[in-house]
Amino acid sequence: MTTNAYKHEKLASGIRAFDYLSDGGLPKAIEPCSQVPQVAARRCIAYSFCAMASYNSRGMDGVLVTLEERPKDLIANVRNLGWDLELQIEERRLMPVHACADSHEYMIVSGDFDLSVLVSRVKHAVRRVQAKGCHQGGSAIFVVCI
Amino acid sequence: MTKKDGTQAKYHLRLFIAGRSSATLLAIETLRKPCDHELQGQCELDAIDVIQQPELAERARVIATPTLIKQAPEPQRKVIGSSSNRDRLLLALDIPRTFSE
Repeated sequence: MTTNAYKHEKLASGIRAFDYLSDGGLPKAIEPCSQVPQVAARRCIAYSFCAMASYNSRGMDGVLVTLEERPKDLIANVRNLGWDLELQIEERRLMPVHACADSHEYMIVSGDFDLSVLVSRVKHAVRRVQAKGCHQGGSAIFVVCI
Repeated sequence: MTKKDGTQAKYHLRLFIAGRSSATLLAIETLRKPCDHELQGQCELDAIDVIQQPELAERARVIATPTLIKQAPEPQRKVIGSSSNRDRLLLALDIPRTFSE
């Protein structure tokens, strides 16, 4: 067995079992895509990542993009698991980006459109988190999209 | 929304665009005519570039560009896309055809 094989730098998620199984966490500076077929399982991984990344006090801040759920529903769901995302949001360690249409909203689609606005919104959220992070001597930023 | 001369602008439309793409130009062009004709100058139109002002896009929760939001009068309406179909746009915005020339 070779021990000097190329190893990509990893970003520890703080979820002990996951970090063990994935040999150190998620690959750093690469967009990993979770393809667990069960939506609930994917969300649990994403929630845990958001919660643990800040909780284990390594100064990791994040941006959470919700494509199906309103952030306030998500915060309530996660509270049941014992994580206080609201506090993280208040302290600007986590910025939610609400990217789903509300069911009560009257919306009409007519003609071509593109989604570049989402990129602008995520970049804006990253900047806001980073602006705060600068005072702490810089911090890693993760973007989770669920 | 009050115009410079003190009269109330009846319609307040807000158009979210991303840079100067062909879709942007088409969306502006499609809106210009209803603003000049059907709404007979009773229309206030703000164009917001989401690349320069992402915080406004965040507040309005815009998920695609171009998006047109009718802020006033109630009810609020959202139209996504750069269709050049003026009639469909008027219908979507709840603007009565009685304004038509």
